Amino acid sequence: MKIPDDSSVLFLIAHPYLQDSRSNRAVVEAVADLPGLTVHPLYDLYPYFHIDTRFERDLLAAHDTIVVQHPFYWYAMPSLMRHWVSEVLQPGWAYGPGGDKLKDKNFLVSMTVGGPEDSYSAQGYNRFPMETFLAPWNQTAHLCQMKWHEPVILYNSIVAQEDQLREHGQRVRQKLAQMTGGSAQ
Amino acid sequence: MSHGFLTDIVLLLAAGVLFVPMFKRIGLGSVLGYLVAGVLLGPWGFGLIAEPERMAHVSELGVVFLLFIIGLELEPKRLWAWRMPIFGMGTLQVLIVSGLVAICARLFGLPWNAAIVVGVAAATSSTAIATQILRERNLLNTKGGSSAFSILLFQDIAVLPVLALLPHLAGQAAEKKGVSPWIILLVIAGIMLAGRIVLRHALRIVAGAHLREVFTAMSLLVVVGMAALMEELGVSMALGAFVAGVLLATSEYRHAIEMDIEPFKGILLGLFFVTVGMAVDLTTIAHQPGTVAGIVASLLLIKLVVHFALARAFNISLKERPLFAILISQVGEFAFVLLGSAQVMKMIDPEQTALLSASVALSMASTPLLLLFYDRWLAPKLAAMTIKQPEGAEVHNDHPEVLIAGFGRVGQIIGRMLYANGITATVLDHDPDQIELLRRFGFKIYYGDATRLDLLEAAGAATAKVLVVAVDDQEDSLEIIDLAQQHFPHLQLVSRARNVGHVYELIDRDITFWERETFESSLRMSTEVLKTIGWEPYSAVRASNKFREHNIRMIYNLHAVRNDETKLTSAARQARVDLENMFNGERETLKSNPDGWDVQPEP
Repeated sequence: MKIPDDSSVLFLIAHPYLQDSRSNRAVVEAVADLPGLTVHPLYDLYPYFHIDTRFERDLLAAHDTIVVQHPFYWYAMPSLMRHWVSEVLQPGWAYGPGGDKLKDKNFLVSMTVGGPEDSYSAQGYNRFPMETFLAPWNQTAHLCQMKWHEPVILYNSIVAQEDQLREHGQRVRQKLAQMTGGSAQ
Repeated sequence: MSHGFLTDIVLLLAAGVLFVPMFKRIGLGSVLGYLVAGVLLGPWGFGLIAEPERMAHVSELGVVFLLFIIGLELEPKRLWAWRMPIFGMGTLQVLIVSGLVAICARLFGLPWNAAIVVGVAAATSSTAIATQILRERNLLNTKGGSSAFSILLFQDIAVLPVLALLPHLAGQAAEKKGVSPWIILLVIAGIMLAGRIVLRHALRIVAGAHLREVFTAMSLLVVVGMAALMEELGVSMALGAFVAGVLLATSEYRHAIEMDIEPFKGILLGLFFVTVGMAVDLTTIAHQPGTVAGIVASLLLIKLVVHFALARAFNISLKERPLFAILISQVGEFAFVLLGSAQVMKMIDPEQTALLSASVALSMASTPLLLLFYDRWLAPKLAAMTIKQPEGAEVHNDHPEVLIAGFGRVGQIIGRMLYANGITATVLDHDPDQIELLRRFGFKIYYGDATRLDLLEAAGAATAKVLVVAVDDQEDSLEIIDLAQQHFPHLQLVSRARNVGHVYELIDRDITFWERETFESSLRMSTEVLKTIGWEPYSAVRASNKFREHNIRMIYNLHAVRNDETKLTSAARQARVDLENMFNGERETLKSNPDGWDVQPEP
C-alpha cells in the first residue's frame, strides 16, 4: 500500500457490507471523483481486523482533512471503526504528551442513520438527541486537537428513495468543498 | 586370474563401485551398470572371476531379500484386493506369451515339448529387475505397477507346476523325489496361520534383549530361514520370502526389520545382476549376432504387444500402459533354470541353450534402455495425449468460476472450503486416485498435467475468474502461472508457495495472492504456544498478527534488493534488527493495559 502524495482529504469508509448498503455506496460514489480525495475502505483492507497501524498513521499524517463515513450501528460506529480508533490513535502520537500529529486537521463525521430524525430527542423512542451519541467522536477530535465540523447525517436511510440518496451524496460533496475551501470540489 | 574368494569379492565390489555410479550418471540406470560389470568380469569377458556359479548362489539371496521387503510393505488386506490381477492377468500373461513363443519356436524347428519349455521360460519376467524399478519409482500404488507386480507373483507361483511337469515333457518318468503338492500347500497354510503369531513373539523376545546386532541376525534368520524352507519344499525361495514379508507387514517391528535388511538387499541384488552379466555368453553373441538380435527382438516384441493388450483389457489407463508393458518385458532369471534343466533332460542341445541364455540376458539389459526411451520420449508425448482422453471423466464445461490446479494437501482444503460454501471448483490433477471420490461429490475433474495449455483451456480458463495454483512442484507452479498470464490475462491467480524463494518468483510475476503453505499454520501454532504458557489469548493473536505483518513487509523489502548480494545480507541483518525492535515495541505495548493512558508509543 502506498501513501498518495497529492491527496488532501482522507475519506475513511467503514461498512462491513458496503455492497449491500445503498446509502453508503451513494455517498462514496458522490465523492470518489473529487480531486485530492482518497477513499479508504477499512473493511476491504482489514477484513481480519488486523490494522496496519504504521501505515494508518502515515496516511493520516499525509492528509489535512479526515472524514469518517459509517452507518450508525447500535448508537455507535461499526466495530472495525471503533477498533481503528483504539489501534491507530495512540498516546504520544495522536494525543497526550508529544501527541500532536493530528493537530489542526479538519475532522468530519458523515453518518447514515436508519431511524427518523425526530426519534433522536427526549420525547422520541431513541430518548437522546444525536449530539449525545456523537459525543465520543466529538471528544476524540477535541482530544486530538482536530477541528470539529458539523456532522452530515442521512436519517431514514432504510427507506430513502434513489433521489434522496443522490441528494444526500451531493450534500456531503458540498460540505467537503466548503471545508477545504474549494481545494476539493 | 586369481581364484581366491576374497579377491573375487574385491573385484565385484570394485566393479560395482566403478560402473554403477558411472551408468547412473549417464542416465542408463544402476541395473545396466551391474550387468556390464558382470560381463566384463565374467568368463566371457576378461575372465577375472573363474567360478561365477559360486557367486550365483549367494547372489540369489538378493532377490529373496527384495521380495521380503516388498512383502513387508504390503498388508495382507491389499494383497487380497489383488487376487483378480494375480490370477486373472497372471494366467493370461503366462498362457498367451508362452503359447505365442512356443509356436514361433516350433516354426524354427524345435520339437513341441522343447518349444513349450522355451515358451514358458520366455513368459517369465525378471522379478529382480521389475520389482527393483517398481520400488525405485514408487509404482506399487498405481494400477499399472500393482498389476505388473501381480503378474510377477503369479509367475513365481506358476513355476511350481512347470518344474514338476518338466520330466513329463521330456518323456521321462517323473522321479519321485519331489515333495507332494499337498504337503507344500499344508506347510504354507500352516505358516500363514501360525507364522504370524510365532514370528511376532520371537521378534518381541529378541528385541527385548536390546542388542541391535542380535535383532539384525534375527531379521536375517527369518528371511533366509523361510527361503531355505521353501527351497526344501521345491518352492521359489523368493516366494517364500515374500510370504514371510507379508506375515510381518502389520508387525510393530516392520520398520526396524526393513532397515536391517535393506543394505543386505542392495548389495546382494547388485551381486545378482553382476552374476547375470557374467552369464552373458559373448562368444555365442559374437558368432551369431543376427540370430541373437532376432531372438531378443521377437521376444520383446511379443511380450510388449501382449502386455499392452492385457493392460487395455484390464482397464489400465493409456498413460500407464507403456510403462506396465516395459516393466515385465524382459525374460526372467527363472528362464536360466528352465533352460538348464531342459538341456540336462536333453530336450534342447547345448548350443541352443547358449543362444537362448544369451538372448535372455540381453533382454534383461534391454529394460533399462527401454525405460530410458520411455522417460525421455514416450512419457512426455503421453502426457500430451491423455488430455484429449480424460479417462472417461464426464467433462462438463459450464464455465466454472474457480479452477484448482493440484488437488493434494493444499488444493483439497481449498476445494472443500469452497464446496462448503456452494462453489464447486473445477479441478486439474494428474492423480487418478482422487478422481473417483471427487466425481462423486460433483467436482469437475480434468485429468492430466496442468502445465499444458490445452488442458487449462479445456477446463475453462478462458471464462473462469480465479485459478488456484496448488501443485507441489515449484517449477510446475511457475510454468502454470506463466502460461495463465500469457494466455488468460484476466485470470486472478492465487498461488501456493513452497518457500520464500518461490515467493520471490511469485512476486516477480505480480500475481494476485500468494501464501506460503506452512506459514499460517505455524503462526497459529505459535499463537497457541503463547496462550499455553499463560499469555492472554488476544495478546497472543496480536503478536502473531504483528509477526505476519512484519514478515511480509520484510519479504517485499528483501525481494526488492535480492539481486544484489551484499545489499541482501545487509538488508537481512536490517530485517533482523527490525524484527527485534518490533518485538521489543510489541512487548512493551502488550505488557501495558491497552485501555490505559500510560501506553508508550510504538517506535
